[in-house]
Amino acid sequence: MNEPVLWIKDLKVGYRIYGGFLKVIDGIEIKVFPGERVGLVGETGCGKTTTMKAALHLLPPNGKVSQGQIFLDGKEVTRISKPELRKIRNSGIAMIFQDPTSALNPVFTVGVQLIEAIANGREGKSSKKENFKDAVSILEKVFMPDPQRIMRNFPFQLSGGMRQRVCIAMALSRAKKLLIADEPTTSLDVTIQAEILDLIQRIVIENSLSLILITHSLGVARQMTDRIYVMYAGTIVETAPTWAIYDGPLHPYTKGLFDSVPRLTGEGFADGIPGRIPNYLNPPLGCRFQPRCEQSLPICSQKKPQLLEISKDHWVSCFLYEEKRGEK
Amino acid sequence: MNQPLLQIKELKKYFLVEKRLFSKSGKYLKAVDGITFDLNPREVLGLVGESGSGKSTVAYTVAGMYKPTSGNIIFQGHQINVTAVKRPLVVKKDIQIVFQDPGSSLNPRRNVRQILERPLLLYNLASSRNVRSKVEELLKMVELPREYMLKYPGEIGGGERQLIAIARALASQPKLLILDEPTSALDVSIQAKIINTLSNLQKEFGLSYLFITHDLSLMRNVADRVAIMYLGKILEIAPTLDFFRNPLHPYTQMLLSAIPTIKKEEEELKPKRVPPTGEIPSPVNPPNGCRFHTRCPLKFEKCEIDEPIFKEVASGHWVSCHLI
Repeated sequence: MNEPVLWIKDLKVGYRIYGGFLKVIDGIEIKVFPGERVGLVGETGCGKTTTMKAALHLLPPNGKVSQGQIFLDGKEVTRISKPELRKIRNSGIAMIFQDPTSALNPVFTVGVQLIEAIANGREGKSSKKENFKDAVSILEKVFMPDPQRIMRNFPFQLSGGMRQRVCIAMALSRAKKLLIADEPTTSLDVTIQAEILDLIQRIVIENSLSLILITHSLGVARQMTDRIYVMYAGTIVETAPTWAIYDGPLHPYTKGLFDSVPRLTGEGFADGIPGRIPNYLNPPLGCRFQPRCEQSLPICSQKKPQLLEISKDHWVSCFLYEEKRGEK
Repeated sequence: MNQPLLQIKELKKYFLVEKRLFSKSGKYLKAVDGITFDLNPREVLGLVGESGSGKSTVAYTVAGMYKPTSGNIIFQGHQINVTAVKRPLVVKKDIQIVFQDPGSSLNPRRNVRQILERPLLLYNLASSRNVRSKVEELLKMVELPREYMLKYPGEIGGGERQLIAIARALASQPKLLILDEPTSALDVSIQAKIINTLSNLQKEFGLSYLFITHDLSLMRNVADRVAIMYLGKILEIAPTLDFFRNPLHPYTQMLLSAIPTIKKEEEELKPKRVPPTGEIPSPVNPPNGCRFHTRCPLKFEKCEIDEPIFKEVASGHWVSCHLI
């Protein structure tokens, strides 16, 4: 089997705050293979972004990886010095952030920022002219109309969709192996979203990159990925090939999520999931979904469930299925 | 047929964005540029559009937060083209609004009880003696426990906050509730609960909703009629079933085909993929002719010159497009 591009192993991440330690990520395992498109799906505050930030060493100063390992391209990067980190970041990994407005520097033109990214990615020196030409050609690759003019524009002169294109262009100039997209279309309208998603899809396939798409939209994840990890409160509750999860979600949380999505077929939707995400200062001892789960068993509040393979490559972490397996 | 509850006739709302000193003319942002529609009693009308289409401006103008530039707002036969302050109390009481972000629409320094008491006392719907029990009733309506009375907005979750905002809007027993993207700041598992509560309340009290949103799949499940707005104009309006089965305007088709869906059956309901092109132009300088022609895959010469007429093509199904 191929070596994974990114392997997150038994990761625990938390944040120190005034009131104590927020135990956000609670032992998650994610593997992304070359050419695979992976979706990380979950609701606000479930730790999707924290996971990726931890993997790329982008956590804020109060964030701390308390356990686990991260491998990029087979090399452990969990604890690593700054110069080494720079080398690894240069090695073909790029990230697109949710809000293109704050991802770009407002006081520099698009051109300056794009050229900086390109020049830093180069080995050895390169001429200004060359960098400029590369920047224009990369803007063309993201179907930016009139790239010469855009190079001289400041971010505020562009619309949201255009700004996101600039961010994608920047990422594209560096991504050789893995592209991480953190809710790339959440702040955009549905027609622009469709364009940007098409663009990402195309770039990933043309350059045979791996993709990690962080999203809260089940529709977007279905359209864009081969494999899905469903996250809830810092844990992976279910993972399977995309088609399998959309055919039959297993975990009570995934089921609840699917039942709450309004459909175009118009059959209405369930009442959603009562309650809200647990307080990370003092998360439930057992299954983190237990307080909101309508099917919870006595064991759920005492022990943490482990991921179990229910059918081929369809893993779920829930005691309901452990019981059923026991009966067999 | 009954008289419509709300009639909007050729409503326009322009905002002055740039004005030279000593000069009378200025540049205007044409947020709403001549729209006409009716809202019947007990009806849910979905007003759908992208950001910048002017849908929220319609909501705010009907709610009386803006004075219309021209056109008429007629509520139960009375013309109310003024801001809410100048409207009679009975009309104010009958039109209420719920905003997108309950975090900023609820006063953080008042507890739930104070928030809900306010409209009850203002409209003389409760005396100081029975106001407490009325507040309890309101909480019960939105299925929140009575213990919430003493909580502050900061102590409760986003979904529950929005339920409080809904309870506050319903306190005056309105006939028309304007919902301005009430769930777009919330997660889908929480949205479901809010929308179902809103649907139940609408049926129970025979309310009319003007539902502003950008989410077409949500409207498929909630609205009786759907209207599509683009750059201050309504491009298409139709009863929900007809709208989704037979979308006529190229923009509607583009929007529908761009929706990400989660089931195969839904894919089949989407029009064939119309590749979306470009972005919504600025409402300060809207295109001549048909507003949509700069992005329309089917445009021809006439679209750049003449503005299409809004015409009825089937019962209740209105479209403005030269092709139809």
